[in-house]
This record gives sequence, C-alpha cells and structure tokens, in this order.
Amino acid sequence: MKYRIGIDVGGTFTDVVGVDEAGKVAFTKAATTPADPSMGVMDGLTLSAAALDSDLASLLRLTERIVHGTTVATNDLLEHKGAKVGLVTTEGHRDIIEMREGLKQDRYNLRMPPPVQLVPRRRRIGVRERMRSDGRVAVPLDMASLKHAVA
Amino acid sequence: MIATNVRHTRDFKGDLAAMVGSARVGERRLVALLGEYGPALTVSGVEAALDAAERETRATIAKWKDGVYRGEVMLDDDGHRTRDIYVRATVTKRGSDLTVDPTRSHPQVTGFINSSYANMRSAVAMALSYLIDPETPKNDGTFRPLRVVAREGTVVWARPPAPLTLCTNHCGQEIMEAIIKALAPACPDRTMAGWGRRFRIAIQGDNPRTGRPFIWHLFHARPGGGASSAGDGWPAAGEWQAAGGIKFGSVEVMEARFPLFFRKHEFRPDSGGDVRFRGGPGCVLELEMETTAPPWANTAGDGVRHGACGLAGGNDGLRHRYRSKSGRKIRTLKTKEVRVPVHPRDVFLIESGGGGGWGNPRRRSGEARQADLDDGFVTRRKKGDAR
Repeated sequence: MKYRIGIDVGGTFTDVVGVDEAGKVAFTKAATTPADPSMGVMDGLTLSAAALDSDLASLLRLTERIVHGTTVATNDLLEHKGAKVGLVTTEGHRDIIEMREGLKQDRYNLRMPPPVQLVPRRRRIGVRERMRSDGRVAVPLDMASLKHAVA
Repeated sequence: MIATNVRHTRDFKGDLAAMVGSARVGERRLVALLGEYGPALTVSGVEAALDAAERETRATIAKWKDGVYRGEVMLDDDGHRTRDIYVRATVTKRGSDLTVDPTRSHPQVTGFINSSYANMRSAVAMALSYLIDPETPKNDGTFRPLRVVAREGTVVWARPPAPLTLCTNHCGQEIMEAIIKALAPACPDRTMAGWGRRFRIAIQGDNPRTGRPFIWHLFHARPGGGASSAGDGWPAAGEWQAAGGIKFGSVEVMEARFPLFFRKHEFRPDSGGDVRFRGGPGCVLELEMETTAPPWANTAGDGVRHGACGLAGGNDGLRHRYRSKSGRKIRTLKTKEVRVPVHPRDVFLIESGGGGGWGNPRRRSGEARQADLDDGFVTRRKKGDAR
C-alpha cells in the first residue's frame, strides 16, 4: 500500500489529507504549534496514519509524495511579524513599491490611512548601478556603495 | 470619422472600444437580470436600491451641524492673462438637505479651465461622495438630498464657446474642494485636506528605436494625497478628482516602449503639509529624453502657485515645481503650455506637490515626527517649520 499526503499549516489548525492507492481518503486536523510548526505537522501525520489504519513510521515509509503548504509566511506578512527586512535597490528608485503605481484601493474612502510599509523607507537603500531596458549596463554596480548599503 | 481627426488614432480607438465594450457588458447583464426576475421585480428592486441609498445619505447629512457655509479655492491661472481664478461655494445645510450655490465663482475665462454644467454637477456629486460613508452606494438616490443653484457665465458653468478641455480636472477639482472646505465646520471629522493638483506633460515625437511616432503622457511622479481625521495622506496618490485611481505604468515597461530614461523617481521630502496628520508626499522625477529628432511637449495642469489646501489647522502641501534642463540651461515649465521645445538628451526635473495636512501641527505625536525624520519624509532642516 502506497500513500500520498497533503499538508496545510494554518494559523490555528494543521490539516493533513492522506490518500491510499485504493482511493481511501483520511482528513485529519491537529492544532498548529506556532513555536515549532513541525510538531503540529508530526501530530497531524500521526492522526492521519491512525485514520488510514497504519502507524506513523509505516505511513512515512510507504508515502510516495507529500505536498506541503502553509499560510505561516502569509500570516507573518499580514501581522507584520517575522524578521526585520531591508530593501537594497537601484539608487533613485527606492520608493517604487510604496508608490503602488499611483493606486489606492477603496477609491471613495478618503478617510483611510495609508498602509504601514513592510520595509519602511529608512531601511530602503539605493545602490549605485543601473541596467537599461535591453539588458545593457548603464551604470556598473558600485561595490563600495553595495557594501555601504548592506552594512 | 473621429479617429481620423485625432493625434493618435490607435490610442483613441482603444479608448473607444473600451467604452463600447463596457456599455455592451452592461446591456448584457441588464437583459439577463430582466430575464431572470421579469420587468416588474427588476424595476422595484432598482427603486428599493435607490431609496436605500437616499436614506443612508440623509441619515449621514442629518448629523452635521445646520448652517450656511462658504468655501473658496484659487486656481493659479487660465494659461492666458487671468490669475487667481476663484471658485466659491455657498453650502446651506438644513436637516438632511444640502443646497450648493457656486454662482459667486469667477466669471468664465479665456483658457480651457472652464466647466460645463454637467461637469459641475459631477464635481458637486463627487464632493458629497467623499463626505458620506464609503460603504453608501453612489447612485441617483444618494444625490436626491442635493440641490444645485446655477447660473451660466462663470468658470463653473461657462457659456459657449468657452473652452472646457481641462474641466474634469480643473476646475472640477476646485468645485469639489470649495464644497468640502465650506463644510469643514459642519462635519470636521468627515472632511479631508486637499490632494495635489494635476500637472501632466504630454511628449510627442518619433521613437528612434521603432521609427514610429509616439505620444507619452506623464502619469508618474504623482502628487500627494491629503490627510484626514483618520491619519496621514497617501503618498503619490493625487490628483483629487481621481483619488488614487490613476495608474502609472512600470518604469521598466516605459523605458522599453518609449525613448525615455528614468534617472530618478522617488518621494519628494518636505512636500506634505506639516500638521497633526501629514499630507502624503509628492515625487521627484528626473526624466531624460532619448530621442534623436527634437520632440515637443504640452503641459496641462495647475498648482504651481497654490498648493493643496490644509484643513482643520493643517498647513498646505508644497506646490509643484517642474523644470526642463537643456545642456546647462534650466527653464521652469508653466502649467498650461503648448509646444514646449525639447531637445534630445534634455532632462525634465519634475517635483510634484504634496497633499495638504489635517489638524493642528502641535498635536502631531513625537513618534510620528521622529518616523518622518528617520524615513526622510521630513528633513531635519525643516523640522517644525511652518511653510
């Protein structure tokens, strides 16, 4: 008996779907473990193995494919958690993402503060370099300015 | 026939096809609706939707303070001899009814900033749309509480054959602005400070890479959005009549398709009005012409003499400053110029205006001021200066 497994680690639950060769499907749900999401995944797999009348070790040995998805990164973006990040980009163009191509959602809501930036302007640093639209180098990368930006 | 009489037939046909297409989609959906529910139920459903929007709008207006309010906004000029063209609105608010009277506005002018009646009505509707709850639908019922007093012969409703070309922007924006300014004492928390005005450049020439003529419209370097009771203004979101609805194409695509080189395209420090809630910054753009034959440019806009208005004690946003640099020679662009000479390798130095600020500058938090300095939206040199 071979198995295929799908895993989705959400903010609250870790969903595991196991399918065996005969087409038997087991949906199981474990609590997500934010401190170390792999714990929740192993809990889910253990539940899945039981639902498929197997045990964790056998299930994993006989599994031919695991598809793994998670909203952990999406949630971190939405909640502005996670690592402190910077943006190193072409000098003179560091605001292009915050400009949003000039657009604002919800056009008739003018009493709506602009979104808080994932990378605030103070951590967006321009580096001396410029490529042309056809791929030619207009200004070669200045290593000193790159070192300065990264520092 | 129209297509053969415009500057760029292909662009125009695209616009026209989009309009025809959207009308056809509307027709198809209406026919489907009638087919599913029958005429009687459809019509009563539409009436119920309009009545609901009217009820919501009236409930909002009813909360504002009754009174007679006045607002005045200045346009720079008409591109000819007339300067400081005023748009004045008297707004009377009684119960859940509003009467807008812009008849004391400046007499109609020679340049193309006059408005038609229909455009003036739209600008009045736009003002109300911005003041009511964003969730309230914008339909005929919404505008039933609104009465407009009008008289032909002023800049807000000009007598033919006065030119009207710019009116959806200017003086449309100023009609709306005068109404919002007027109503500030009646519903301060609903009003917002001025958004940057339009100042665009259209460049026409031959593209040496394709051998074909081109027209390029400047939609980059957008001016800032106005602040409101809810917080700071949106960066690079102006003009007010579009309020964040004008998209600019990516710099990469522009450079690939047009003989242009964007040397710099960033926010303009110190451009948003200083205040409790700061206006959104405008932009700085250095744009180099990579044509071989001299192109030429037209400008259309306003706001180099009057910045986006601050409200509720906030300061105005910084005004536009557009220049072109040819060799060592620098020339300041006016907002309404025809056939500005441009040479290959010339650089446009564009600095668009910021949004107006909202609220007393003394009430801006220390944290917000520090963040502005850290992010370079405000430079130390100007800290605390009232402009």
